[in-house]
Amino acid sequence: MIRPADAIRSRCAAIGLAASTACSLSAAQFSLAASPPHFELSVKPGETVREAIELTQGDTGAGAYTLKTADWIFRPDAAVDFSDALLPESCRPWVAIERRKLSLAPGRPYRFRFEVSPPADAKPQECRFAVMIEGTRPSSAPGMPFALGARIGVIVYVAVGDVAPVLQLAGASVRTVEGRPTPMLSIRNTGQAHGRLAGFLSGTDASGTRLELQASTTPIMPGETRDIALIATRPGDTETAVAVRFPITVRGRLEWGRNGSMPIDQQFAP
Amino acid sequence: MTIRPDRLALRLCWVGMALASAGTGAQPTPATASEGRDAMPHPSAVAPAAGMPAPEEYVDRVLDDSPLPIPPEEIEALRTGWPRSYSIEAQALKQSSGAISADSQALLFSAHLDTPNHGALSANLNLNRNSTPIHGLGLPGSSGLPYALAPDAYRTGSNWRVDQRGMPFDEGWLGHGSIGHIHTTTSPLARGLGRVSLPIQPIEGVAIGIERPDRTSVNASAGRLGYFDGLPVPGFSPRQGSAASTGAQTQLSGGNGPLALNRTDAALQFIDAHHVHPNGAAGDAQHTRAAWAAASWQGVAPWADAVGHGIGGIGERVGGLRVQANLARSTTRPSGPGSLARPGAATGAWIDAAWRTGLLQQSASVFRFEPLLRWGAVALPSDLQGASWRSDLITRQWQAGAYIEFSNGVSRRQDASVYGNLYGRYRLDSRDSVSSTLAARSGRFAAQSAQFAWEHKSGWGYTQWRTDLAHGVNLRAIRAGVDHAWNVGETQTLSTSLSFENSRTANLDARTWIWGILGTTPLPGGARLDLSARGSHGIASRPRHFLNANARLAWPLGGGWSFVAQYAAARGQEPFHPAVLSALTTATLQPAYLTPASRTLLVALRHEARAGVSRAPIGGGPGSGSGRIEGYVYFDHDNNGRREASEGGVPGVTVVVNRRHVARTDAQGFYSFPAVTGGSHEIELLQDTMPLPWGSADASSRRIDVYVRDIASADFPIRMNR
Repeated sequence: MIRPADAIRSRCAAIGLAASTACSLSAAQFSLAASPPHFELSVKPGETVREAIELTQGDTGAGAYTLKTADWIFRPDAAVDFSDALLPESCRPWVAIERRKLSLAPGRPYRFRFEVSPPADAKPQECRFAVMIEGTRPSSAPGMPFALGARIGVIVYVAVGDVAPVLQLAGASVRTVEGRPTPMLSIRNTGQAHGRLAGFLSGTDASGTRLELQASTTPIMPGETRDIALIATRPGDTETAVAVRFPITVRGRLEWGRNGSMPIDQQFAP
Repeated sequence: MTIRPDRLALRLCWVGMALASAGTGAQPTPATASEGRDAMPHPSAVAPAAGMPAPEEYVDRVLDDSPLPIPPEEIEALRTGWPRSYSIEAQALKQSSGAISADSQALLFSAHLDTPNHGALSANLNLNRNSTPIHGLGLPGSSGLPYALAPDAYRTGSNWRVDQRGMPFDEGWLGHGSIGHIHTTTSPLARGLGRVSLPIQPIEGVAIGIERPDRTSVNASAGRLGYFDGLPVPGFSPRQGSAASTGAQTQLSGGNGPLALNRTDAALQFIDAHHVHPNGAAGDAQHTRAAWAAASWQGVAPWADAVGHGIGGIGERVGGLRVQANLARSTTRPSGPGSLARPGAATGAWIDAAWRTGLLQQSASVFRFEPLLRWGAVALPSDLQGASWRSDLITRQWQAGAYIEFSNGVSRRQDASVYGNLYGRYRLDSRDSVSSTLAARSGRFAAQSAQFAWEHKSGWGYTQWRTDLAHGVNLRAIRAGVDHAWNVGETQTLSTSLSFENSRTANLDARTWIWGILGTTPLPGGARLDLSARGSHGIASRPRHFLNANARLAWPLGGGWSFVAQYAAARGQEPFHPAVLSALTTATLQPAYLTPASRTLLVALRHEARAGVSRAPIGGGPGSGSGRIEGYVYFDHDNNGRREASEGGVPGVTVVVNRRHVARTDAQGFYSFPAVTGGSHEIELLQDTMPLPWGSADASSRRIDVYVRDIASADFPIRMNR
């Protein structure tokens, strides 16, 4: 299991030296916390669901922010593209946010409200959008020759009506991820809501070593087919990913949604 | 350690970089949350969406068109100077116990300053003013009701300490000093590898130490003995006697670092306690002088070729072995001609080892404690010898363990006994798992116990069905119940618990409902409400009632001010979970104090201010601003690392940050360090302040990252030794 702190570090490290510097500085000089980091809500057509994001200004001074919604697309490489403009079939017209500008004082969390009101004739679907929080002005940091600016997106999934994911195994392959050949499952989502795999599999690699493989919890959007990495670890040490010697045979069962599951019996070879 | 989900806040990592002069030409980086389970900012979302239509600004509907609330007065950012902070809190408390009520006021002040050349300076001062019967003690009068001897009399108290930590000297030496209400010092090895550790003792005095981190340390402390009291208003009460302690530890061989192979360390510690009253009575006043020596070795196990993968220390890695041998001797004599204390000398020796073979984490110990063995003012395990072995297996599918202990009395006054324990948890899939624990003990206190549990995750939340059975001398009990953590809002938690117990103790039958509810919710204005209530209701001929309720409202007011209100009510004794204890666990049992029925209302107003800039030198050292660490220590009855509604907080546990800074959990198990420097910190629960047979769930110390001006929330489960 990758620990969250490690995830932060790895993500920050991935964007290169300059941005890493910004990340470390952010810990020292800037801090805005948005909690929770994402929402998974449900609502019936014609009704309204209301929620709030808790924003905490961690800096010593007050901060000014603009807030708005955005559509987003989850790219095959697991990056996210945000769009201020309405994308086709966007549900943002159903969304209302508390306000567009906000000042936050340090030390006092602010509960920023938003609500989603799908019309009564809305068809069952998953409404997805992001609440974007942007600093209104770049902030300069002592010792830094330039100023910093940023925005953050809190992802919101809203299940409108009775929708659920339906995940199917569409294939298997081996791909290089971060320089390491990695077994991948190709998962197709024929349902109406995003889904994620859960659980683990047992495997035996070419050297006869028994391994445990955890499926990545990357979301799979309705209608798309996405490659899901299987991260291998040794039994008894779930923290350290290990290199796989191919071919590897993988068996077990993965779960998704409330009740879904799929048997896996695959051999992976580059 | 568990991180509360509501605190798993997404930190705005300002990954976007833009030259201020570049205007809009430099696109700030979007950062997204939640894609992937870690929900962390995703830096690769920099590029504009390929093929997207030209942006046409969409204007959101808004719920509130009113003018912006008047922004709070801009707080001048004090970004110069050394990192510094202070916190001042005024508390008023009203406590009633039966017919007695008491009012208390307290003023709590803490401050810290990180300096580059003199280490981190911190000060804590708690002044309190209590009406005399603050503990609810009363004597039965002619009416049969308790009464207060002097209800309007007040006494004042204080609890203070000043610390200097990490003062740098040449060649990497660091100095530490403390004065005030502190604990006696010990060497790191004194915390032990197994189940017996050298206890520390509260004193009003001074402590100094110097160390080359992870290599050599020397410590000394002296002062008047006492104890921390006054929950929830902190205080310190002196007791009879004084103690002086000194010791040293050094590395004898091997490489550098905690994971070095063939590393040998040795430690010595002495303590001299004068005029101690072990039972609180002058008639048994005694002097105790004790010495302890220990040596540890870690490296490749004789049966292995190398140390392999794994996490933790050498003893937790495949092929690794860690051994520690301890020898303690105490001499006790009466402190005066009127004392009836038994003179004598006693020796204790215990060896612990930990190693890992493939999937199995193993540990073993042999121990021998002669009668009347003491360490300062505290008794060590006494009149017991034996051996134990433990083995644990943890995979994604299986968790299993076995423990066996053979023991008998050194003086032959105690019977021999064998204690065994088997534990298993099998994960059926990502939604279901089953587990069971079986324990049995032979000898005069022969008993057997069993627990069975099924955990299920559904759209409603997380459910655990659990059954406990116990059978022994004059004891028969069966308890069955269900715990449920409900799926509520993203920023809320709600757990409930309900169980029924049918028991027969000392020929008396009892049937009892046991219930609990635990939740937290945000409120308007940034406030947060924590609620917990646990209770039991007897329905048999010998009804027993228990209640422990707590509500805590924390309301940040802005500008560094915050308001806290807390109401707590306690009545009766909580029913124990049926379980069998080993002889070693029983030998280390500390007396349990019954808390009188009480109701407490506390209100507090706090002001905090922090400032300063990080000036961390290369190679570490003091100085990176400060944040807060807080959380709960709770009884993890079912060993699943989650807090169920039936699982109460643990009062009086000492929590230590970086082995120097100390806080104690309040009556609800809540602890807080208001000003902690940013970075990674070691948090430790002192084993000897936990109610036995409970201990830390895993390692007794964990590391937690603290971000400047942020709150790091960490809950710690403690579990019954299996």
